[in-house]
Amino acid sequence: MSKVLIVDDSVYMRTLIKTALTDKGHEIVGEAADGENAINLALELSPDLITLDNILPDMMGLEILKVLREEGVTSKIIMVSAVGQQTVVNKGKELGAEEYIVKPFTAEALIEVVNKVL
Amino acid sequence: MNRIHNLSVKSKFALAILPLIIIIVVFDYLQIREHYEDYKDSQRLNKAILVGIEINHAVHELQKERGISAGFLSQDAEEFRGDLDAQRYKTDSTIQAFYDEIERDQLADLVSLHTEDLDNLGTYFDRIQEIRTNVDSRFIGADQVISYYSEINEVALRTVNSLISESRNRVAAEQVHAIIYFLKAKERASIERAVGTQAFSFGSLTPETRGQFTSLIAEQDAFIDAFTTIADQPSLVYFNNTVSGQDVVEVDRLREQLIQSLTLENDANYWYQMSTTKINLLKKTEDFMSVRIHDYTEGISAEANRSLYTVLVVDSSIALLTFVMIAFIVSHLLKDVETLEEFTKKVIAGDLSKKVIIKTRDEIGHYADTFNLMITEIKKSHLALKKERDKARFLYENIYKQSQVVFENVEQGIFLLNKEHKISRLYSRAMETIFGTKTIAGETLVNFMRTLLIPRDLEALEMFMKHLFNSDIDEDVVNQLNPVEQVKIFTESGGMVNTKYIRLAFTRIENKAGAIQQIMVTVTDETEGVLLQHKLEEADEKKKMEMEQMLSILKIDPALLRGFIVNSRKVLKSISAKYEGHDEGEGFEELLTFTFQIIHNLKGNSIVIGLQILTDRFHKIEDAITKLKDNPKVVGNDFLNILYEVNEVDIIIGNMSDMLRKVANIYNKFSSEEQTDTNYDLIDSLKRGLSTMSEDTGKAINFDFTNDKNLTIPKIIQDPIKDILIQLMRNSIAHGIEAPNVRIAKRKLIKGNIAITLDNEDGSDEMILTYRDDGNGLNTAQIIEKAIHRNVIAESERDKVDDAQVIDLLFSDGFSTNEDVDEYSGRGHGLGVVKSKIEELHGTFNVNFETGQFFEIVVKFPSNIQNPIEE
Repeated sequence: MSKVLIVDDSVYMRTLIKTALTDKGHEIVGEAADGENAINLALELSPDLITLDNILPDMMGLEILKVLREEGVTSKIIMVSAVGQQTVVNKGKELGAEEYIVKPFTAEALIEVVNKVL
Repeated sequence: MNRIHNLSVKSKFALAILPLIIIIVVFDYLQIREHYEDYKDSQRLNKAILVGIEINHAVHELQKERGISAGFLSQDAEEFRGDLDAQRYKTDSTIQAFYDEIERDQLADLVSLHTEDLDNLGTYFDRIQEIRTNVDSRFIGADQVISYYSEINEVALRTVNSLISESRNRVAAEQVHAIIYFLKAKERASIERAVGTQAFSFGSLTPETRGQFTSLIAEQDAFIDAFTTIADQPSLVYFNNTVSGQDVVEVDRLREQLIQSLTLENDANYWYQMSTTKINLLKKTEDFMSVRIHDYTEGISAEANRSLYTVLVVDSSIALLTFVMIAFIVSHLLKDVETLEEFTKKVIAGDLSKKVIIKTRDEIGHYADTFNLMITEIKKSHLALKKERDKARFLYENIYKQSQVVFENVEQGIFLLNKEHKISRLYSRAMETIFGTKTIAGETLVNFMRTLLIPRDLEALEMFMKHLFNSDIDEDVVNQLNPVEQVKIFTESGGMVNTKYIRLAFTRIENKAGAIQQIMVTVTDETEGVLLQHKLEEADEKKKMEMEQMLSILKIDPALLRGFIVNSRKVLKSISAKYEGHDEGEGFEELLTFTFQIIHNLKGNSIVIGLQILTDRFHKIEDAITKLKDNPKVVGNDFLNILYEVNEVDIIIGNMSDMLRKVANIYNKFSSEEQTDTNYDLIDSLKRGLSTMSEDTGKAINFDFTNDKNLTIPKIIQDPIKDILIQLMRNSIAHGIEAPNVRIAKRKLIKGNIAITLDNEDGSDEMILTYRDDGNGLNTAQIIEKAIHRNVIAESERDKVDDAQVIDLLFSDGFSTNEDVDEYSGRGHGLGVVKSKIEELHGTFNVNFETGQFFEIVVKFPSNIQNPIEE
């Protein structure tokens, strides 16, 4: 039972993730569709887990990750990337992300990664 | 490395240029291949995109067919029936177009590369007919039909992916991936249309389809995200401009209604129309991108083609140009080198008449100039050498001839020794004369000398040769060790062995660096010199003897010596006189006895006056006579030897006489004293004679002379008297006076005694001389025995012999009892001489003796005799 913040500009993706995690008993404490909201909510809610989309309208997920870690946010963070480019994956790990998952994914694949992190 | 150094210039060039050529060829090949690969790649990509586009067309039609089929199965069949048939026709024609495309020859290589994928896709396309039959008979549901078609499309899209995702061109690869993401999004949109159509037909989403519907939209968004990440700017702009507007917003609105389970205001058909419109917009974008990527790949293909040809032409030109340049330069260089080489060969062959002509002004040209200069110099040196050679030849002819002459005539042996110690071929003629052989050259010195030297000298010579060639040892030091500085050799010539004395001298011949090259040996025949030396030594010896004579003369009283000389000369003359008057062939024994008596007497006299030299001589003559006496047949020649010896003694005595005269002259000059007759000289010489004899025999004897009346024996008869007394003394020492141990045993004084008394009867001219010793007296038995042994008396008369007869025997000539012969007695003539001397003086004698006690003889003689010798 963990508190989860979902960051994705696609409402359907958020829905998809929310459905998958709620089914497993996790609590979705917040959703953000852009970087600014994501940072505010993460600081405000101190969630156990953040799913962080890399491509957002105002900033890149990797930038958000960097800000969050600099601000001392200790939440587990799973990077969500549309393109499974190795550079993005490496960069994410370097900046403090625990895991990553490439879109589109199945609910099972997501749960597997979340279980690995929590 | 050496192997490379030994290669010809041509090969060296080849070797040096080879890596360059290889580099050029390899570089060109790689560049051309790279461009060719690019070209092939772009060609293949281009073709793959053409095939991909055909597949995409088919997929697009299959998506529509899926939507219509789902609609047909979900609700009123007739509403979709017409559309369905039309759509199926369109689908089939696009699939046919795909097949037509891959049948084209141009695509054969691409198709063969992806046969498996394409065949697999074919089997999926083949299943379409079966699905359609099931749709027509409504045997399957909408869900199933969606999943069937979705599966086919999935395979088709995978095939497209595999066909076009192999490009080496990064830009092309990225755009291809963008299209693939886009196609995946579009596929999701198409399924969404089908699922949505179904939901609108039923009025709402079922719980199962709700999740699926949401996922489809989320996935669409995700793939579009991916697409927007990598798509190029024109495609992105086209996408944003195209997939937007009223219809897109309307589809979003309809989605919201479905997901949030709002009241549906529109029917399934409306949803289908709207979503189809949107999908068509996506299709339009896809087509745009397909054309774009196709154009792009065409472009890069053409570019690759162009650059391939450019590279081909440029690289080939560079390679060709390089080869031509190298060939040109190298062939020119080699040509020059060959010219030089040929010229060099000519020069080596001796042709100096030509010059080498190389026009190039590079190093080889300079070498050629230098070469020509050198040739000129060589010509000059050649001429100079020729002159020198002629000069040398002239000198050689002359010097050689001269040295030949020298070597022929020089008296020394001269030769050279080489480092193997062997004798040179050239040696002076004298060598053959000295060594008496002609096999000289080529032999080592040691071997040559082997037969000539004694082993010890040979060994020394061998050692010396080693030192001689050792430059560490100073030449002077070595020469001090020369073992053949003067050496005796034995040579043979004509069967005769000659003794020679030769001298070998060694001189080192060194080169400028001081290394010993040869040894010059000179051989000198010093035989004559050495012999001369020996003669000189002999002469020296003689001189020494004369000196001794001189000294001995000086020691002796001149009056005594004079008497001795006069007496000796007289008696010696009598020997030759007797010989001359003697008949050849007979009476030699008598002559020998006569000679012996004289010599024996002279010996006694010489002993008495101390003339050792003459004593020796006389003794030698005695020996010779004794030898002759033992010889049964004596001839005149044998006696000549004795005469020769006698003559020698005569000469010596003559010399003495000369010397004495000279000495006498000196005396006469310095002495005016009148000479008077005394006994002094006589007694003195007797004393001296006795002391000499007693020293020699080891018998100590006292001499006692008594002359109470102070009588003087006339000078003229002193010599015969002395002869008599000396003979008696010799007899006493030999036979009378015993050895000291015997005397001790007989209780006599150890020292023997000889007493001489001079007396006369008063008023008479007759002198009485008594001689007495305290020796053994006479052993009459022994004397008789001896006489019998010598057949002087007969055995039968042994007992009839009285003392007077014994004394007669004793005083007969040639009788002696002593077995040993020495200087003083023993030849059996002693007392015979005494007797004859007394007779000469017209004297008489009387003998008394007591065996074991004494021997006495009393001699009476007239004192006024004038000349006893001239009998």
